Amino acid sequence: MAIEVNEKFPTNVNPKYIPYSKANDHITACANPIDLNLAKEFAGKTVVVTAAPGAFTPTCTEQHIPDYLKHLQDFKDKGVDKIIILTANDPFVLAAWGKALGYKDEENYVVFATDPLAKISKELGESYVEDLSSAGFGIRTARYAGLVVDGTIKFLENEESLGFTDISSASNILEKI
Amino acid sequence: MSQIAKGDKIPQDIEFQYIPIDISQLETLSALSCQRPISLKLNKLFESKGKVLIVAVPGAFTPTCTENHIPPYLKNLKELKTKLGITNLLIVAFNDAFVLNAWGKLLLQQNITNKDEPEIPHVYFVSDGTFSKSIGLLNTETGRTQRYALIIDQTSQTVEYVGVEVERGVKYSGLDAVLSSRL
Repeated sequence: MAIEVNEKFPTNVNPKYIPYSKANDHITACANPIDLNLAKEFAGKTVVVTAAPGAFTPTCTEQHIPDYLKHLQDFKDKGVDKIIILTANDPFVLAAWGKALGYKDEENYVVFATDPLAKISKELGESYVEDLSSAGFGIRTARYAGLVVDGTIKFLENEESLGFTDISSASNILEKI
Repeated sequence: MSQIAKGDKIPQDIEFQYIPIDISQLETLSALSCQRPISLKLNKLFESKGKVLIVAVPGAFTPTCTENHIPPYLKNLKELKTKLGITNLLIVAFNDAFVLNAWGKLLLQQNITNKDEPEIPHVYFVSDGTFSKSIGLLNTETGRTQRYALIIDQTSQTVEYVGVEVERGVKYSGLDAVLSSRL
């Protein structure tokens, strides 16, 4: 069973993340992970959620996330309050990845967060997770993008075969808002 | 399996996934550019003389590993070769090969001062796969690699040193413990 548009985005599992701060500016500096309270983040807000199979992997690092980071002002202009980037990597890896991609803003408008064992993605439906165990990667989040308004899913679509196409592109999401 | 001990033979046909890092090009390497992972066969290293030092950590980019555990090794590569005869250094973590590659590049850039020195071991950052499990050094609670250091003689394929951490922190698996080990 896959979740559908106009249903609530699941909030029973919270992603973990390490907020960016100037004190841990260096890529290999790290702080302790905290919970991102999804119920709180979604309440009365417009949030973009996008997931990728893995930090530091070619497609995510070279195309998918940079595309979002390039359009930050467009997201803000359209009233998006936060962008949540999910992968099944741990919060330490995600924090390093965010900084390596050049996102260093204490506003933490973009949050690089762990979907623990891809459980959140699994709540969205089987097609939102990808079992890459045979390649030694375990259960990963598929590549997808969604728009959540006041906790309700207004748009949600995933890529076939984990590629990066218009489906999960920043401009596609921007058009849906 | 029970934990591997000094004098034990290392299991056969161990493979790791990794992305090679060319130390001679260190300045120009970017943590954001990535190639496809390839396989490193431990048996391949056993074809030449010398010793392989395996340093395993629970996670790339985690505080202890990044700040305390691995940097001393990278800063003292020459000593590892001249004092202990280490010709291959494998940094092993639970994470996938892409993460290990990015982490490895950053750590090498921050810590290596003698990359043109001929007497240093070859350094690999590799994804654990099933290795730690096969030698009884997987943390069954977290499913991650335990923090340990292991020296294997490449000719005899036997373990000459095992240092496993039993508490948080770096003691038995750190550079000082390894350098003072009697091989």
